[in-house]
Amino acid sequence: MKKIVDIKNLRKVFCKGNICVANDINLFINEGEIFTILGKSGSGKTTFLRMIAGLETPDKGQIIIDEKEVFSKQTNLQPKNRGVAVVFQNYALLPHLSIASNITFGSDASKADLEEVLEKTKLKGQENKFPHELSGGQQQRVALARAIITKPKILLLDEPLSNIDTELRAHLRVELKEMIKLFGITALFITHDKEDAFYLSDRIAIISGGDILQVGTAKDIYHHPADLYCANFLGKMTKISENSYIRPEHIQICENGKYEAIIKNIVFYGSFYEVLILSNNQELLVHSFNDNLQVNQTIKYDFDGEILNFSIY
Amino acid sequence: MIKKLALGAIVLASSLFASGEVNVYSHRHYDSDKLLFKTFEEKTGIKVNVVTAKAEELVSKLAIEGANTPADILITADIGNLYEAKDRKLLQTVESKTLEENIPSHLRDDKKEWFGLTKRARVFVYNPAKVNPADLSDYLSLTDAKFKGKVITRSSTNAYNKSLLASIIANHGETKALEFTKGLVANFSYDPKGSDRDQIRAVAAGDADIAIVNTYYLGVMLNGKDQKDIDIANSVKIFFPAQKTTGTHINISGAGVTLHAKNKENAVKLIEFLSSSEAQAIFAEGNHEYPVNPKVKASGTVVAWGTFKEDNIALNEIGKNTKKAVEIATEGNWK
Amino acid sequence: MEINKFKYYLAPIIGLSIALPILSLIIYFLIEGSFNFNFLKSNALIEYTKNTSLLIFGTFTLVLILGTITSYLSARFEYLGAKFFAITFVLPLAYPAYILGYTYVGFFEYRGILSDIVGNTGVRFDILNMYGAIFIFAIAMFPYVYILARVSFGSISSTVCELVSLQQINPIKAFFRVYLPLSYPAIFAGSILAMMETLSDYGTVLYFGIETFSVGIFKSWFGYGDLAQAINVAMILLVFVFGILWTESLIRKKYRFVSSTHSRKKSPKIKLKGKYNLLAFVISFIISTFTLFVPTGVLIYWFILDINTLDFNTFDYLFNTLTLNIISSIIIIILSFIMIYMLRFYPSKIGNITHKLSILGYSIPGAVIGVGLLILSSFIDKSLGFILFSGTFFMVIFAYATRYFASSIGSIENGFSKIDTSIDDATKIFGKSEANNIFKVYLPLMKPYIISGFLILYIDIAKELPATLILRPFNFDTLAIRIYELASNEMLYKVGFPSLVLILTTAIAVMLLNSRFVRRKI
Repeated sequence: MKKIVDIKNLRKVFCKGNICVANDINLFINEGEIFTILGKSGSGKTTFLRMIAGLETPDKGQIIIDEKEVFSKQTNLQPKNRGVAVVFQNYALLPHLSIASNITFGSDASKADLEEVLEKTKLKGQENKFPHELSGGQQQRVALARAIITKPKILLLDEPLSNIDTELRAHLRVELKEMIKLFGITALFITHDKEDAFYLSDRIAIISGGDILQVGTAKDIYHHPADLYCANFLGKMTKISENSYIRPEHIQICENGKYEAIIKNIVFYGSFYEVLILSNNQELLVHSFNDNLQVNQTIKYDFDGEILNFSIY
Repeated sequence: MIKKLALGAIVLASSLFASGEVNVYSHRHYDSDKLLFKTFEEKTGIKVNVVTAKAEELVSKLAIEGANTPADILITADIGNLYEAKDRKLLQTVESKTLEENIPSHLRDDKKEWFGLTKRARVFVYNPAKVNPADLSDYLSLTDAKFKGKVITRSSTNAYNKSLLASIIANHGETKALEFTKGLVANFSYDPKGSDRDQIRAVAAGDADIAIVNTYYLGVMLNGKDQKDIDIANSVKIFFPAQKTTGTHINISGAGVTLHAKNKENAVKLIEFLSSSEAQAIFAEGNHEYPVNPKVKASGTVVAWGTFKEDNIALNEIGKNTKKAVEIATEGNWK
Repeated sequence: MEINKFKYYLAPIIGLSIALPILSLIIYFLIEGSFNFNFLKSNALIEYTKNTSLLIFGTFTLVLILGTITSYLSARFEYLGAKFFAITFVLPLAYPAYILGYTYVGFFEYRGILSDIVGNTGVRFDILNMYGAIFIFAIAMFPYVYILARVSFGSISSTVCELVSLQQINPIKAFFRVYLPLSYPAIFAGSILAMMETLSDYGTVLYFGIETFSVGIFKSWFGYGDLAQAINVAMILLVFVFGILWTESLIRKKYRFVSSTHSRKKSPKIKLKGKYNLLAFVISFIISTFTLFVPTGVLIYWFILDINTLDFNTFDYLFNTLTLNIISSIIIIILSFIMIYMLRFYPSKIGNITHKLSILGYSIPGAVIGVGLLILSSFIDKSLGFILFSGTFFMVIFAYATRYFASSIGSIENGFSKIDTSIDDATKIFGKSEANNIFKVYLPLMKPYIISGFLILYIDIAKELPATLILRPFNFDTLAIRIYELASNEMLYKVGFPSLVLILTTAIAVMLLNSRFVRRKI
């Protein structure tokens, strides 16, 4: 598998308030992949994207895009020469230009290219309108079209769904993945939302404090998180004891369970119940499909998944 | 950039079409002057280029420009300014029989660096209903207690008052001059403000009884278009001070050729022209100033005021004392 | 890479160049004179400080009151004549302060125009004093507050207004407790502008007999020929200016909250009825009478007196004024654009410092800048051995740049602040080249602000007198100079015609500017 983006020993001193840390990032993105950087706000993900794009300069390290060195000790190419394109969080469309002009801004795209892109981003008929006349979703597609028409080696998307409310979001997520796969482009998303990460990604990297904590598929990270932080990012964790954790759905409430507990609270979450049980003075969170549970009921339970051990250092 | 060059080229071109030119820095901004320069141009074909500004600024400009100055002539009012220009070595000597014939020797520099072109007297203008002219005598008498709250004049920073005070220093010494200043200030109706014309109006309005002003302002008011000005000017009377002692203080406006003049010949020609009967008559009629050329009569209005004894102290003596005058004015709190 | 490095220097170079006349003045004085610390205790300094403070704080207060009343009326109410007054309130900006001074003296003096109207020679008013001066400056400057505060009052979000009416807060209380505080930044900014302009004035204060720092500088310089003294006063003036600017930036930080309470959704104007309607009309009429009708009336009266002897050379002066002005304004606005663009994309500490230096000129008397330039050009010409700059238009344009850079920078900064930084990123990623980005994106987006900046510059430059007087080339007089000469000759009635011609041009610029503000093209 060809590496489209290869990042080696990338370092940028990252400060939050008065505390500064230096990081050291190594990762690669394969051709055709949708790769997501997942992190909370302030975790350094936007900075990371900007460094790849050439909008910010790292302190040290190497960035290679499609086998061309775009950043190193001797090189620091302009964004224009890196083969990148960015879809910004607020779309950054040029308000004084028409949609068509926005899309073709700065590129050498032919009329045919424009037609194709308009078709595939479902913007046909809008080309003579202006950004303020379009809805948010349409504006995003214009931003996407502008990026795609340049045939970038890697498409960078900065929290593309963060401004959108939940219902529309799910719908746009689907569209976005469709369009990206349709064009066959390698893409890097950054987001703080795990659902987006789940839906869109081939692989995910979890970032915190400027550092990459873990890289892998969603399943890998979910079941084998590198540490508690990563574990908590993709879903809830139930603490069994000091340093021992398990996913709440891997605790089964069953008649022949090894352990005993009392139900302290039940919350209905639509597709499952979140049940709080007390066992040996330990509160455990359990996800169950059982409709017949009652508070203060004594039940038996067992573990049917991997118990994860995290030593906190 | 191109437009700048174009504008500059136009200015340059127009001057090239004449047979030479002369560059004038002038403090005077009267329409009669413009007429005179035009007449000179027509007569001689020499183009006159003028920049007007305040006198002190012109002298400063000349000093800073040094050898690179484009100016050939400095025309300025007040002997103080002329003396300053001479003192700062901004002028050069001019040998000209014409000038010596046209201008009396006491109205030109003994070292031939500046030449008076018009003369003005600093007189009293008084309210005849309130003041008996028999009570008026010389400048020093204004400090008399009987004039308390009745006298006004403009600021001491004004060149005409500076020179007046300088003449008092030259004639009576510093101590007397300081005494005079303090006494004068004590008799002010209010703190100095406004111009000479405002002083005349104030006397007509009854704000003060006596004002110290230059003669030509009264002349201009009497011959103006505004009937009110004429009425006001008619309601006051003129008094030539110090007739029994040193004589009325006179001042001049005059010209000199700059030290680094590039068109000296043309400059001398222009000054000679300004001293000629033709030009002097225009100065006299246009502005009601006294001409320096003895062959030329003053305007009718001015002649009607009568002749008077002039203070004939050397003007350079007055110029010498200008800086002292400023010190004394400050010490005496003449604002 | 090398071109890039040069770009970092461009803004500092521009800023430094603009400040050069002031700097060369300081250097010249430091070489020629020395700071006299005894001066700090002298009576003269106390006088200047007292007078300057009184004058600018008096002006500040009056400008604030006039500006707030007029802008509040125009922004929030519909009343008899409101549209008409919205124009009369802004027009005094077209009048140079010294012309307002002359007209009022002509109006109120002994046997002046007022006494003619009333028919009683006893009717007169002595305005050649501190109060008169404050009055004149306030008239000349309150439009600054009017324009800024009107926008502010007018864009207070409808939710705030609905809240006020829901709570049934009485309108007067509402004004003082709610609306006024929300517009403090705008009112304050306008009043500061007025203060700076007043500080730099020389002609008007001299005429009115007020001894301010400006007058002190000139007295020492030209009166005593005392350079050391002049620098002392000039330095203190600069300290004053820094103090004001510093206070202003402190207060501006404090009032950053405004953005949330101002929205695009404007609340509708309240239609006034009955006695309130009449009251608003009367207040507006009285204010307009003093700030506009009287001065204009006097000028027209003088024009009529002069009508048989009109000097048609006035149109030559008009041509000079227009060409010099338009060329200068274009050059200055281009420099402003370049500077702010460079500071945005190639920021540096020295860039920020020189930026602040470049706007100093706004509160420094024009003549001081004029002499600074003389010194500078003389030095250059002497070193080169031939005359390159002295007595050319370059000097005058340079003086205008130093003096009025702050005006155009304000507009340009405002415009750039409205362009989100994500646009910068997008153009970096997608744009063909930086030059292409500038021409295809930034210039078009900045167009309204460039035009406004140009208009503001035009108005300021047209009114300028002292620097023009000292620096202009031979045979080149502007309308402002002509007016000054006529007034110096004390032929006041001849001032009418050229003043009206000058004001006609500046009034057109004011009206254009005003309509842009009203239509939110800012």
